[in-house]
Amino acid sequence: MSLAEWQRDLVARVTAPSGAPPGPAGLALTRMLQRNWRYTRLTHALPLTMLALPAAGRDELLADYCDVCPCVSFFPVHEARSFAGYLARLPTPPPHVASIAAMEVALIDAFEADVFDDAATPRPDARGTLRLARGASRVRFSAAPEQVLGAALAGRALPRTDATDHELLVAPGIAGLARPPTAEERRLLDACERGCADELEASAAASLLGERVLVRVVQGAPGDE
Amino acid sequence: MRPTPPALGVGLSCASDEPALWEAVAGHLDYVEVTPEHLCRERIVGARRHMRYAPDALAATLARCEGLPIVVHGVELSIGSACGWNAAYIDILDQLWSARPFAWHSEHLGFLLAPGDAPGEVRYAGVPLPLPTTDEALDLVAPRAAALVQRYPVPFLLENGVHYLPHLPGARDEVEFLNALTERSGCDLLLDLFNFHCNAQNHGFDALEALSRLRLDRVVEIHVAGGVTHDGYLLDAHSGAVPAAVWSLVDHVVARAPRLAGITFEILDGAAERLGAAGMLEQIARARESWRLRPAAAQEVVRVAC
Repeated sequence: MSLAEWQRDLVARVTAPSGAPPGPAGLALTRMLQRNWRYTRLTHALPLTMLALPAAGRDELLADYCDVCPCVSFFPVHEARSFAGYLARLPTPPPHVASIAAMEVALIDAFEADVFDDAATPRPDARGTLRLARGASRVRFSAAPEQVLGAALAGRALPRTDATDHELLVAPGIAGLARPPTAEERRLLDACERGCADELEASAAASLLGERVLVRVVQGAPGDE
Repeated sequence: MRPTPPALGVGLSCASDEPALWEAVAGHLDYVEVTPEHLCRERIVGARRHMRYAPDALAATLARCEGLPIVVHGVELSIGSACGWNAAYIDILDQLWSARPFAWHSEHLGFLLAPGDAPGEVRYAGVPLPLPTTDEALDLVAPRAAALVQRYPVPFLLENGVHYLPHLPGARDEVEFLNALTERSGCDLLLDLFNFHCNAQNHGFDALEALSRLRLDRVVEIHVAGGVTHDGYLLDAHSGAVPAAVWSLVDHVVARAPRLAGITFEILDGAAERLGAAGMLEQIARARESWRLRPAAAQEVVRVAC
């Protein structure tokens, strides 16, 4: 067996799903350590999400996540994005937890946009398509966000879901990184998502461009996405 | 010719940014060990990884180490991967060298990245894994280590790892592999004596006998740490005080390693806060007792006495 084959085989055994044959004791221990590292990264990157996970079924949910989503990096941010995506895809996720995870990932994205210099400079005079900027997110909640996040932070029971569609905008140019959008801004952002943002109110666009929520993309222009 | 490392003394590897802790221990340290990846963010685009220093993180760390030399201890190079090492690590190492030259740099002997099932696919292990002690592994790692020896005018060290897997392929034992690697590549050794102690306990060999065969003239740095026992295995956890058995190994090696330049106490940030300033100072003081056993220190005492 070549070194490449041996490494491929060992990594497959170390990252095998929960039901795989345990193998020798040292391999089982290495598997357990690998999973513990993954949980540690999640706790580091998504502290509120991990606090908000209901105790009943928590271990099973985390084990299932590790079974279906591979580990890709030492950096906790990748585990955080992967877990947030997993929660969002669950058919019956625990209430609010996917929103809390999306919020924590959105904050990381807003921070990292400046690390990688890719929150594009708004160019309000340019003509082109408006898109959500890299590093910007819309996070939807099914109760008031401050109540959901406050309860998670304090370790209290999360509020009941309500019928109202709550939303926070997160972007590197927003003071404090997050704020609720106005009704006009929501219409604009919905239009952007549908790809028909030309009908927009110019004042809302200027504000969202200034806060790096939106970016105006001119096809073929240097520096555009 | 290998660069001669400066004899620094006792250092600390700790990512805690607790100001009170650093204030208490900084005056008792001779150097600080920095892990560049802890100061970075990573983006993965296709199969390529990019790392950038987070705003203020590098500046804050260098400010904390103001007046002290730094040494570098990387975690993400994956020098033993058959599918290629992580070039993003070299980029951030170059940037750190430009910002603040280091006395030496080191990495783990092992791998994190492995070939996937599809051509060009790379899988991440999620936990550091050991290399077999085969000729093929030696042929892979030695030129990579030699390239890092040449890259900066300071020593490059490889660290012996801890592992729990039975029966790694290869005719050599760990010591024979390390000796062959230093000989072939020109790199030096970061001898992690807690890892060495763990492997001896878990795999049933005599640590002192094994150390008697190791090229101690290639040891530039020693790591010490604390760990925990789980299911009969001793685990490398960087979780607190160094066990007495490990200090005994340290004393043994220090007296026999002529190029030793530093003893570094490794501890995770949360564990450091639990151990507290007094506990940290106790470990640092114990490391200094060992440091005084080095042959050069004995010669200094003789010179002073004369």
